[in-house]
Amino acid sequence: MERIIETENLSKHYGLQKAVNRINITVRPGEIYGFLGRNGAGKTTTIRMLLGLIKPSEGVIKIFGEDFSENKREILKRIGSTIEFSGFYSNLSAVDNLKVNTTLIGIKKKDAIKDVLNIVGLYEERNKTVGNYSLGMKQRLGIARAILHDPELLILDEPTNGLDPVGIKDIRKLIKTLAKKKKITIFMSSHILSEVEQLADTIGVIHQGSLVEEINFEELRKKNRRYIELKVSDDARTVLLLENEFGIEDYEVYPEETIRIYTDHDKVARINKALVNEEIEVSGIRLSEDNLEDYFVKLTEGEVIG
Amino acid sequence: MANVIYTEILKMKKSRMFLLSLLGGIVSPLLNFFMLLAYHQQNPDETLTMESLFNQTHLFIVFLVGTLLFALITTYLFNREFEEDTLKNLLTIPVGRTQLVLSKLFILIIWIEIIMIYSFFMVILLGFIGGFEGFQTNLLFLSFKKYIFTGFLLFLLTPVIILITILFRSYIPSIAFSIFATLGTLIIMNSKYIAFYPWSIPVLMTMNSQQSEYPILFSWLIIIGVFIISLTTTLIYFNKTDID
Repeated sequence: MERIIETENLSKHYGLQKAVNRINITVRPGEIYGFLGRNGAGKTTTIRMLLGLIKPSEGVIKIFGEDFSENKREILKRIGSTIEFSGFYSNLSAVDNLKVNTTLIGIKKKDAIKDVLNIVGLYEERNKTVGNYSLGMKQRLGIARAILHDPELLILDEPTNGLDPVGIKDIRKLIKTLAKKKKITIFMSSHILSEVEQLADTIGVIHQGSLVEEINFEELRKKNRRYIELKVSDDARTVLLLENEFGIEDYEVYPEETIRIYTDHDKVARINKALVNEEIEVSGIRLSEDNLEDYFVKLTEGEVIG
Repeated sequence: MANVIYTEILKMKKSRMFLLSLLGGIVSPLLNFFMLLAYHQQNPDETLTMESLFNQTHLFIVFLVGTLLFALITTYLFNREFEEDTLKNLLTIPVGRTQLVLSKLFILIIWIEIIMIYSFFMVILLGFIGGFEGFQTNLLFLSFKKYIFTGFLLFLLTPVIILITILFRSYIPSIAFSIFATLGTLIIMNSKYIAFYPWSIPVLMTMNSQQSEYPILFSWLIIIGVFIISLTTTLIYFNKTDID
């Protein structure tokens, strides 16, 4: 199987509003797919469609190579999921909450609950009423519930949402462990770029309901462009000089008299000398790379993610 | 199906609502116990009988407490899955939506009958404490039958509350509706339309069905019709609706 999740023109409309607009996602076996987007970009709507909680307005979902709309029940049995803040019966303990799932799924394995509680580090707190759990503990319990039946695919909606830095670190470690040791394919959404960057193999960026980028992180890093950044006293004259004297056309002008040059990096010394000769003050010069954040700012038309 | 029912029972563990509902079940016997005692103090010649305590308590349940209390239980059973955000987990396991509603319906009738039986035994206990006369096997048997039957008739009206709960996902509309339904019963009970208004039919059927101007079959058709139509609408809507 080459693709675990594949969507074709998946859309969800609420009246005239296009919450998700013709997105094509491809998730490959064994990878962690980071589904990145700002709050309200359409991440949760997409995830709910992938889990059959809401019906797509149009488009096709294929999971494990099968049409989701035709084999929903069988496909869902192979998926574990958490959606936003995981909901639990607050009057029950962690064990009893998980018992609801083991009973409904028909898990016979005796130590299934003990095992998953150990994995997420909640075994000691197993008999505590979930109503008394912290948000971080609930998120971990949500993951425990999602992996209870050894799923092949884990769909996690904002698994670190609302957590403190320690909680975020714990969940991140947990996700890495699950992907590595249990070989689970993970599709996780987040609005925090650094979060996705640290975990994902592939990234899909959703913005205003549309998938604006889907790329492997390796490729993305290769694609990241190096540039020379100049801070000068007169950007207009500098640009003329770059074009006329050096034939450089691949550059960008930023506020505060800043210019980024993407080619001819070997000419940096000559450019500097020419600028000084033209009595253009150079207050800063550095070789840099477009960081991921800049890249995604461009993708989302200037709106910062995370 | 058995698994889903078992988990519904598991969910009730340490549930405050279950204890609260039992408290609701004691309200009618207790109120009527004190009312009859007060009446007896004013009229010492009148004998305190078990029959009057059974009948008065039943009247309270079928008129007032039953509709409201069972609406509260019904709303709790269904609304908690939305309120505690557990429905998404159930539906992605996956549990069938129809299966889920039917399992909860099964729990609901059991719960309602537990409260009716609890009220029945509270009447016996209070009657015993108060020294009420007329502890006869026949009376106990007939009263028990009447309480169970009342529970069943009130249960037949609960799918309307289920539908309202699933539509609005809140306690307020269903409780408001049950208050209006109860007021409707109070208004209609002395008219000939008692046989047609769904919420007064349990009163008619368990108290004075012989006095109805219309064949009791009409009332049966109405109450069963309400059950089937509201349940079918609930299932169709719940199966089609998006879970946000």
